[in-house]
Amino acid sequence: MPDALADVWTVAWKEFKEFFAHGSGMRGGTLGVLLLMAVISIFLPLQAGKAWVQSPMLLMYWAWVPLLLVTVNITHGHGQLLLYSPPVAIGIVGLSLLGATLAASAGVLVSLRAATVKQAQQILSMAMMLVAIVPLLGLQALSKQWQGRLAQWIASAGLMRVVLTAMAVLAVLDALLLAAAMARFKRARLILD
Amino acid sequence: MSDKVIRTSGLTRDFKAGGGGVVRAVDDLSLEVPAGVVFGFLGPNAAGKTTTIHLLLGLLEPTAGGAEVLGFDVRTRADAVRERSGALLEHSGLYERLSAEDNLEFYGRVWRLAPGERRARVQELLSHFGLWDRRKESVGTWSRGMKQKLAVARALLHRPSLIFLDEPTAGLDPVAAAALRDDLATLVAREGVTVFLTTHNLVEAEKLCGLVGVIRKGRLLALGHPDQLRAGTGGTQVEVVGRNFNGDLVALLRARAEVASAEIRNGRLVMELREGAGVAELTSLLVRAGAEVEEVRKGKASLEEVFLAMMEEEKK
Repeated sequence: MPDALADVWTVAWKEFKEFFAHGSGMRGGTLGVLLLMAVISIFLPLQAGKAWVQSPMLLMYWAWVPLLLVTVNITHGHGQLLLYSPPVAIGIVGLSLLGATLAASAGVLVSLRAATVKQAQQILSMAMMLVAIVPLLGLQALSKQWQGRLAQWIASAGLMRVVLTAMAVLAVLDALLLAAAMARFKRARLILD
Repeated sequence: MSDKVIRTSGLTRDFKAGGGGVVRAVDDLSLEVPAGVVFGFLGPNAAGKTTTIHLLLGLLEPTAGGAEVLGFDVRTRADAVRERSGALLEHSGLYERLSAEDNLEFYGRVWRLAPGERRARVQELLSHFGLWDRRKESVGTWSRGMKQKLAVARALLHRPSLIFLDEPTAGLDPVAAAALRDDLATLVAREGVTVFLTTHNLVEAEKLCGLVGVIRKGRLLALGHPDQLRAGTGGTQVEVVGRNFNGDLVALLRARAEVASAEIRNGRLVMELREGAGVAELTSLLVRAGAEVEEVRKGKASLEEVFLAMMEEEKK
């Protein structure tokens, strides 16, 4: 595993270097990231106010959480420290880690079978779209009665239980995909292909 | 490990073709490549050169036969082969947005070279290929020749004892190809690395290679030192400078048993003669037939001519 971590660090170093590559500067990806940061970490919290530290919607913006906290405290704190509610905090940390592991494991599996990087990217994008769309379609396919029961369960279970259930499902998926990826991954092949 | 770095025995690889058929890309290939030589694998397009490299690296499974590379069976120890080999295949493996130095730094980390060794090796290779002064530039801004030099440096970074180069000078202009060839020749000689090189460029093979294999439709047609292959044709090439060369004259020569081939090339008459043919007798024949002969040059065929003769022979 330390070897795998060294590889992770090496690839992260390469990605960082490529992102801030010579000449790209503000013209390239950096400007786009700054604009996105401005919208998500300043504009949206300003609009929503205190609701941003209490709402489960925050889970969708997990990567921007530290910045959101700063903005909300500056604009709506009024001398009081605003922090996330426990379910939201657990969800931010747990779901983001498990979600990233799921995406990385799927990425390894897809890359091993794809002929080119572009093909791997396309397959992975399709898979991500399916992950987002299939649950929505599944919900719509449920009868009104089952939709009602589900809504009732979420309301009665509370946010913490919903978050923990989602984390449990993700953890199982992670374990399966990670085991498959580790079984099929051949490090020596990476260098030559 | 024996002194043979590569040893194949009846190596065969089939691919499924459309309509349920099978295409044999490599057919019963048996060859041995000793340590420290530059081995040139020559053949036309789709001859099976790249498939052979993939088989030797364990990236493809043989359909029949086997191969041993650096003492490891490619079926069971492909990872060990790849750990000890360098390869420049179809793609250069370079990241265009990174500088040359960062590209090699990245691969040095991938190969797990120690930081000090990594820095020294990067400097050594970039200096050798004349790229050190431009090490901070993004590779994407470089010419194809410079990128190819860097790609070869990448393949040699971890000091492999064997490197596979699949058409390294393809697409380069003659000057860039010659520069890469010269740098490569001095470096492999200095480091004692064995090179398995595929190329279409027969002049390149003649200059670089100590051992040459000729392959067509997956079958090995010849194996030996370029001089041996040239001698192996048993014939002599004769070039006649003069005037009044025409189709009738060429037909007359082709009809003779001792003449393997005859053609007019750039206004000169070029003949391949079989073993024991008399040049004086043929020259006399040309004069009698009306040709004005100014000069007759006699020599052995070039590797290119030997190669083309083999391809022609195989077609018959």
